[in-house]
Amino acid sequence: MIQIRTVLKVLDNSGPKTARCIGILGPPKKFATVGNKIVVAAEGKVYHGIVACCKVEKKRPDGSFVRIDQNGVILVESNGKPVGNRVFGVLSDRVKQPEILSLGRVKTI
Amino acid sequence: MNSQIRNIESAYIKDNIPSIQIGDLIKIGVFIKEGNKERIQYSEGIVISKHNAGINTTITMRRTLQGIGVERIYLIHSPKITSIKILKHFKIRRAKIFYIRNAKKLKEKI
Repeated sequence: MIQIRTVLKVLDNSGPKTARCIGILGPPKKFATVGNKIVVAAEGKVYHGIVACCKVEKKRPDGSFVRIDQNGVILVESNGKPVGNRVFGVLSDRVKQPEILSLGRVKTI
Repeated sequence: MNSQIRNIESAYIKDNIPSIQIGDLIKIGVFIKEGNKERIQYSEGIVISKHNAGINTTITMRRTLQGIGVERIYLIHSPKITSIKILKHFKIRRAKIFYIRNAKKLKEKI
């Protein structure tokens, strides 16, 4: 459940370590979850981001849940191209964009 | 629980599941499908909570991946769960051990 003012950890090597959510893209809603696109501010600049992992549990179609210990984001430009060129850590399997999954060895859970 | 619900559920409850306790280090095999390929994925972890609800009994399993803690909640009577094996048992005196989430050194806490 990512909302405005949430501080997320940046999971790629684009430069900033943390980013703050300043908006949620798509139809109007209060919370963003894994796989959603958000607007973040990091080190004085504004980027888009894809939420990669979330502390609140997410239900899978088979009835199981996944909960990851951090809120993570991957910075992308407005056209969807990732800012960094390597991704670290654990991602959720909702992150399906091929330009992100192709950035090196990524562990999806 | 209602006896009628229990009668309906009894057809689907698995009887080959080991008795899982809090503090068990278990290895669970889950049937996953990647595209057209089907395979069994094994994962190890420690059971930190168990919720008893008949066929909807769930266990929460915690493991550390690349330095980040991941918790998974499984419905143990699901047909997607192929095997549960208990590797080790740690003596725990609680019903839920959520305090290990803040543990810097896990062995000291357990």
